[in-house]
Amino acid sequence: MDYSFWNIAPIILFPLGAFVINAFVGCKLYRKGDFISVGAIFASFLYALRIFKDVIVDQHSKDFYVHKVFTWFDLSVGDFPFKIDMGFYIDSMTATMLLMVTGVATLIHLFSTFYMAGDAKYGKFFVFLSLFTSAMLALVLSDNLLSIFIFWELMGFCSYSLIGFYVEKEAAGNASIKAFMTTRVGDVLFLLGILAIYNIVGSISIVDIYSALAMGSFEGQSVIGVSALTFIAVCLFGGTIGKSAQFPLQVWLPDAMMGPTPCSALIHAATMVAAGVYLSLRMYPVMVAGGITDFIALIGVITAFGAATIALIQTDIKAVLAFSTISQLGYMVMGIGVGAYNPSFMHLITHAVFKACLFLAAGSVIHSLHDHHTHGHVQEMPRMGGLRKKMPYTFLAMLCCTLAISGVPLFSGFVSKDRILGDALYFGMVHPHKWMMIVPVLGFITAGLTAFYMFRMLFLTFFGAPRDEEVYNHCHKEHFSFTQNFPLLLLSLFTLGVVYSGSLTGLGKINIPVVGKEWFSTLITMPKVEDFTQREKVKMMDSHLPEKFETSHYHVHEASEMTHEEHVLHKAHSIGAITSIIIAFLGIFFAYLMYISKGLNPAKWESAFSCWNKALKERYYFDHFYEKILIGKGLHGFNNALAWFDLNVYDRYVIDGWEIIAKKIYLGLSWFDMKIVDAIVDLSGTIIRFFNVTLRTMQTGRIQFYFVVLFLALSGYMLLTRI
Amino acid sequence: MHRLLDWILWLPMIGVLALLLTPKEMTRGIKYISLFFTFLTFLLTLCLYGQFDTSLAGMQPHLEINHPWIPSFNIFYHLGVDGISTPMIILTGLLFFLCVPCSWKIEKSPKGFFALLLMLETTVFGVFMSLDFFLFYVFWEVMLLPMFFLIGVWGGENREYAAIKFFLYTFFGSVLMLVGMIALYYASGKDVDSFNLLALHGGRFSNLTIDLFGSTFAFDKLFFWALFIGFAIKVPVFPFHTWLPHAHVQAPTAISVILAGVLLKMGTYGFLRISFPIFPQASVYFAETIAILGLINVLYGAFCAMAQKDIKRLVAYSSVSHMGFVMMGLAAMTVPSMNGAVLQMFNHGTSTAMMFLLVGILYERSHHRWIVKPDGSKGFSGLATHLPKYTIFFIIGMFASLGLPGLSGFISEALIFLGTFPRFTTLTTLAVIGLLIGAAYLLWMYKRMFFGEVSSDVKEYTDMDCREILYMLPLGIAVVVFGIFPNPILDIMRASVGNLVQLLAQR
Amino acid sequence: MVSLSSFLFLSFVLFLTGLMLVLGRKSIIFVLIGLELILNAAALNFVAYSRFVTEKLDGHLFALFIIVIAAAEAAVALALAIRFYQLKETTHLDELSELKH
Repeated sequence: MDYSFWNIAPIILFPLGAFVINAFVGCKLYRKGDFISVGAIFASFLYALRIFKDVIVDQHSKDFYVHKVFTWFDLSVGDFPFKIDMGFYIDSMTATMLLMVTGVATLIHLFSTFYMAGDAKYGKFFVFLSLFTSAMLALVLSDNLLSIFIFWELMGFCSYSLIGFYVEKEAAGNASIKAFMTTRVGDVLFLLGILAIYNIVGSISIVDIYSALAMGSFEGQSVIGVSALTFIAVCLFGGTIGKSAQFPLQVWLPDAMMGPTPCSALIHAATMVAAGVYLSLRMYPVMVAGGITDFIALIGVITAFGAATIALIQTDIKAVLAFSTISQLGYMVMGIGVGAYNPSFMHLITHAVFKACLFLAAGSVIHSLHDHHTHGHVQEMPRMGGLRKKMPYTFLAMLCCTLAISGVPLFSGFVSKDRILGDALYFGMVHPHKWMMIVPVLGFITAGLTAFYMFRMLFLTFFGAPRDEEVYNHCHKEHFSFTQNFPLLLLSLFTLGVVYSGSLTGLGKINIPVVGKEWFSTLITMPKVEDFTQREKVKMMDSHLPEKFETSHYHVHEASEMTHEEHVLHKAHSIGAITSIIIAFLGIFFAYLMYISKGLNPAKWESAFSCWNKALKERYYFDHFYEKILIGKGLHGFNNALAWFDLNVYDRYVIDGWEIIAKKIYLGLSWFDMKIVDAIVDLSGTIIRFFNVTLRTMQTGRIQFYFVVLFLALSGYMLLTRI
Repeated sequence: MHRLLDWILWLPMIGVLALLLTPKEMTRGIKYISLFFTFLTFLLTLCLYGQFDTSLAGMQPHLEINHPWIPSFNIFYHLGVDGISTPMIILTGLLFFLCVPCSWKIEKSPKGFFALLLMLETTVFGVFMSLDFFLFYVFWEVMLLPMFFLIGVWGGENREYAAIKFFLYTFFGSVLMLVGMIALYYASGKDVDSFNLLALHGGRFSNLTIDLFGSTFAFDKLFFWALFIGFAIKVPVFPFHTWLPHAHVQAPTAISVILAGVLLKMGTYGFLRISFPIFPQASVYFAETIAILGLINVLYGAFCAMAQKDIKRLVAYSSVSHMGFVMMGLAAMTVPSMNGAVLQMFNHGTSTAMMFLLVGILYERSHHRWIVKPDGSKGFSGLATHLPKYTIFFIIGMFASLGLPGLSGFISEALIFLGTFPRFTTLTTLAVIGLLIGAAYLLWMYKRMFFGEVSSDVKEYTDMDCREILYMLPLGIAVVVFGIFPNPILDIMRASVGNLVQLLAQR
Repeated sequence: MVSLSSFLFLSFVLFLTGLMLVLGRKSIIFVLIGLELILNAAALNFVAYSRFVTEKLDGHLFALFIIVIAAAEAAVALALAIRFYQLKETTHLDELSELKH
């Protein structure tokens, strides 16, 4: 296939065009223009399918890539080069992500036409949905960190808008700010990482970063006192923590459920949160070189375990799914940390499919249950029950996906999750610090918890007697509707393990004809940075075929050929596989006991762990800490103090204080002027007045007096001159 | 079109004359005349863009105008543009043009208002175009006069205080600049090029010393600070910023727009045109101080903004924060950072202008600007439900201010960060916190005002009418288009800024 | 013989008498009489010097001038005195102090 601009770019341009059209004229179109959005994303899907076929099916090579660039702006002058290039980078990871995103997005768009029908802002929903999908697709196709950052933030904006979609609700506003700000903390760290990389490498293209890594440009560099690689790795991972809702920034995702359910499905399950993991996957060599993989694994497993525990007691169906998303993202991050590069990616794909399906199914349930008191919909599971008979298709979809997420063999979740756990076990076994075994141990426990709470959700919703008669009776019996059920069923089809792996365990040897063995588990490989030093960037708009290499890096050894390392690996995987199957079934069994056969009483268990229960209800007090203490007392207190200082102290005394000083000066000077300088002027008048007063006594007006004076003056003169 | 700069400069004054001849009862006539003249001036600035040769780093020779003015002191009437002043001139033309429809509903003596506004336009153009220090100073000073009256007569409750404070504070800075100007005149020998800004470039004064109050100072370092204070008060840089909140809050909407969009840029323009080229050694020597002051601006402005309950004060402090980014970019003196700083001057002009215009639209309806009223109740509630068109523009303006990628603010901020990180790593790491807090206060304000149930006072408000949409539209388009495709502006400034970077790098 | 000094002594006595009248008397007529006496004393002095000191007759001539001037001056002064009497109904000189401050 010829990778010209017009074979790649339409994937982004179709939804972008739909956004533009719907934004400006959407409200005037037939059905508010939803068909434009759906059509656009479907067209993108077709393009993605073509690329996928070419990269994965035809080329069969893990080292295949396409790299095209164009210059966005060039400010170089003299000795100072500065250029920002944007471009496309397509390899097998890109192709798979594209297919997944477009496929899931198309089905969600379709579902939204059913779910959001009748809403006053129906058209606006599709506007944001289209913008979001174009941003996500552009991110996946990006070849450099800056454009990843740009689309990452744009997706954050769409997420903000969609969470706050129901603007009449005050709580939606709070949730949308929380989401944006929490992810922005991660984004700011991400930006710092980009700045540091640019400073050292001189470019932010992924290929250039890999080459620089291979050539050792990062050796000996340090940033603010720490080694440059560690700083960069921590910062980039910070982006992942924010976007993929890892500990400690996981607080936004549960609140994000205030948005409409299709948006939760697309953004907060399948795609945006996956972008964080995607970034870490792309930057994996940097993370390894920075030495923070242990840290990543710990963060991942803490997130996975913590979120799973919180999910145990949730009563809102969407909240269960939200926490399970955080938990599964934790698995992906843990996978990156323990070195399970390919399985993490596999889990990303499978999770996207089954989580989207779960959300859509939950949406389907919610949509059908009307609450006549609030004129809204019912989301609380204590008011559901026994819906299996009323909503068979939704039940089927949810059953498949729940089986998948619980890690039951023959379903997709097992294929990916089992490998992660196996690699985690291997990681724990060979790690120099023995306490890192906590990572796989918690991983397995979480798997059990996952199975438990997911089946709890299933049982509470679909099984048993209806707990709220009114709601149950008003629920419509489900007929097969294309927009409602087709997406669900198609997605659940893709939760079957068969699609992904020709074997039961994913490692074995059963060969199924059409699919071929092991295409999924050999999709991508850890990038070898040395290979990237020779890679070429092709200028966009030149349509010649890119390079490809023939070698394949992954193959399965026979038992006798394995080295000791691989022997341990194999052992770990085997143990892991068996353990995860057992744990999954244990979890399902416990859920069955508690909620179907009523053998165990959940209320008694709740009261037994009551303190922990309270902590879970408060979600481990993270929200309380962030909102009330850190921001409420800390940040707001500081800001108010600073603003008060600026206005009442600094401005009033230092600046307006000059007025007081000036006033004192001029009052003093004017006193001086009036009392002293003026007085001197008056003195001269006084002297003259004195003479006046004395001398005028001589003016008697009597002529004889004047004669006397005259005579005396003359005689006096004559006498004096004679003498 | 050799005399284009003359036309751009003096056309608004011709407008003032036309207004003076109009009887004050003809309010509609007055408004249309001002609209006509500002629009014509704006078109001329676009012609300037068309005539601009992007390959030249220095002044555009075909547009330069140079006549003797006061020959006995070697003062010339010297106008010219290059890559740094042209975006500012276009921005000025645009913003003044948009201010006229914004002030359409002025009740109190519109004749005086529009006459002063047009006079202000001439003086601002003069500042950006002059290449003679004396001429620059004259225009800089004269700018204060219409501003004083515009704030002091048409402003809010506390307008006289704000106007006097603004005037005296800026005047104090200008006086220091005057001292610097005269010093330079004497130091360059009172000859024909003593006031010529171009001739003063290049750091000729690095070896001079001057005796003052008994001790000897390095000439360039001393007068760099004199000029710095003069410009820093305008920017405004941290210790000299307190006039800004008062001026913004009390000024009428159009004047806030001009103040934030154009006048603040005059300060940084002064750095680019005068301080840095004339004293490059001193600039490089003090670069870290300037960067630290810029960082303080970013963080202080952001934190203070978060605590504000009056929308205009919040946006005023956010202006302080954004200009802090510009100062950091100028201090780092690398290619991306200085291009980013000049671009940020343009982008901040458009996005902050949008924010102030939006606040003005709301104020016209509500007659108050409280996000949270002093008694604790909400100032506005449910604006998004009731005023959808207004919400769209508000979102665009807010996210442009925030620095969301895809809108213009991001590119300039990203360029500044990319440029300052190599030089001032710790400071940049701290400055990104400013991005975080910037998002916080804007989103908090938006949430407080736009979400929730429509309150009873909000129900009375009407959505944006045709005139309001028409004057918000150019800014909205600019913000979005330059976010994706900043090349038109970057092409203009690239050569001149690169020249400056090379000059500074040689020291 | 009658010498110069006796003439001078006579003129001196006349002068003093006249002076005492001018300065001491309150009626304007007496002041004018005193003024005449002073003038005559001065004339006598001139004549005496002209007889005893020089050969020429300048002094005699000058005495004639003095007589004429004294007559004229007396006429004017008497006219003023009449006017003064018409205004003030008295000849008391103390009443003539309009120029007092």
